[in-house]
Amino acid sequence: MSDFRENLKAYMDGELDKAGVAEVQEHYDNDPEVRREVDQLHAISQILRTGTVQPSPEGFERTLLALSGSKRRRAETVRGWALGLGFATALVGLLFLPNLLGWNRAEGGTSAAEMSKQSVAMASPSESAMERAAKQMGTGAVPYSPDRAGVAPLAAFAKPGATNLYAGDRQGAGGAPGIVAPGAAGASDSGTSGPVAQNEMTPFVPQPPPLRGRSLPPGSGPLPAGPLMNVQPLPGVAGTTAPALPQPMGPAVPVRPDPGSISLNPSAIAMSESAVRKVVASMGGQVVGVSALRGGQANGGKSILVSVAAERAPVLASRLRSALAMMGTVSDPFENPAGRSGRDLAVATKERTRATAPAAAPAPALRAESSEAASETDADANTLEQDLSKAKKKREELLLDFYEDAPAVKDVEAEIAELEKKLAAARKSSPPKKPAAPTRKFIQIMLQPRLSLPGR
Amino acid sequence: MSRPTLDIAQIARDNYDAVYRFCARRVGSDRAADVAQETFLTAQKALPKYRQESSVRTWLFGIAHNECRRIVRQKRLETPLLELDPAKRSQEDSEETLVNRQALQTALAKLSDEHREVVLLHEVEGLTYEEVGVVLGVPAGTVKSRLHHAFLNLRKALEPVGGGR
Repeated sequence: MSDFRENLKAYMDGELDKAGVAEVQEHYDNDPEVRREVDQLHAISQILRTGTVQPSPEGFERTLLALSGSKRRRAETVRGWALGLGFATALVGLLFLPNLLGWNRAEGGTSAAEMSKQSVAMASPSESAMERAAKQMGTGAVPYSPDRAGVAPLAAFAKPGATNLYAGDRQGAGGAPGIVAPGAAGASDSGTSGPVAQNEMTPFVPQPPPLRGRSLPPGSGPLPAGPLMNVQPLPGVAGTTAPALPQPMGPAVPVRPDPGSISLNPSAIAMSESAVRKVVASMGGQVVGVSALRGGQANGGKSILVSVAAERAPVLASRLRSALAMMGTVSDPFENPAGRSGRDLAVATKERTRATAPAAAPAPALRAESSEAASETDADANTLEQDLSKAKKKREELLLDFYEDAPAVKDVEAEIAELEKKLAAARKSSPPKKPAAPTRKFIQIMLQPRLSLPGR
Repeated sequence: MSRPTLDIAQIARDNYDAVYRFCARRVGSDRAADVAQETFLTAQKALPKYRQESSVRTWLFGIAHNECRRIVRQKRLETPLLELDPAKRSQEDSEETLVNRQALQTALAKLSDEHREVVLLHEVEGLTYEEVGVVLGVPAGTVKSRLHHAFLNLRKALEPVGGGR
């Protein structure tokens, strides 16, 4: 009895199958109580279907706008992702493709197996392993052991024949510390021939070298940040006084660590300083100060301040780069062919061109006299210019009434000629108001050992 | 076999009113527009996955149902009462003789959420049992059972006025 009552609502809604309908229909036909129940259900249903409050819709336009905006946003998002992906791909290509190519050039086709062996040698810096690495390179030079000097080994990353990493090796091969004098054999072309364009002083962009198969040897210590070597003209000192030397250099300009950089040992720094002095002397410059780098490593970061004639500063900077590149301490693959050839064993370089250097400083008394003379000459020139302007104006006015060969016009022209002569003489005798170019420049060279290893 | 291409703007034009009312009866008129909009935005995202196994309106009600539940939970909203329109009293004289509207209104307010939901979907929105099951994610048999019990409760509430069995 209760089963068919559960189906009354479904019967009324037409949701019953035939069997269910037949069963309920039988009860409906024969039982007035069932009919009454069905009528009541129907009445409730009718009231609910027709009598409920119908909220009046609002916000349709807003929804349509939101839908169109969402569609647009999605299209923009897809476009943005596509663009981003494209840029990322291009960036990755730019970053890694040249390095891979550069690696191949530098390694000269070194096989992965050889690299792996070198990596193993680096990972376990025992004496025998280091010696093996040196033998593999065919140089006979024993790689620098971090256990002995606290400096990361160099030779494990050197190309065969690149024994000039070490001062001892360099000297042993006949290369005295001063071998990098300008014009000396072996100096790079760009560094020894002719003046170098000023734009060579633009900042160096470190190019990450290949990192394959390299690992940090134990005991190599923390990895300090900062440049390994900087060559940078100093900002000029305003005014005419000579700068107090040596000036405090401050901390080394932070440079993104060059993953392919090698470490300099103290002797290499000493050799670099010697080379710098020779190059500076050959250019008529002067080393005016050598000081320890503030915050430098215990094994000898140095800052060398060089004074040189302003017009020679770019050439000197270029030659310094070349000289240091010859020693394997500088690499500038974008500007320096020598650096390119020794790229895998070179260190990071950063050059910066700052403001122009100060002008030569006259003595205070002379400075005062010259100042007075200059002001007098300036006053004369101004007066002459005014007179000349008046004369020219007078000539134009005369020409309105007279021919050019009229005596009055000729007189004025003679006056104009005389004034022009006087003005030219006055301008010649007066010193330039502002020196067009500085007479001296100061170049700062920072030699800083770095304990980082390639692969960083 | 190829399905007709669906345009969300056209779907919105055809179904916005129904979706709005559906939402208004569950979250109130003040939030109905926002929830309806959110429903269509969700539908726009889900349109590529819509398999057209149910009607568009049923599919939209399913999305709206989830949106309303989310809002109700999030805002801790009270379920609004299902109001009967007094203006239509005169047209339902025949039903009035059997059912006291005021008592029905009170009985509707006492329904559980499950029963109220099936009553709304079937009686007010006009969905079949199958469609109500799709919207609620339950079988049609469950819908039938819930409807039966909902109407049983309504009838019990109306018994004294209706004259009893």
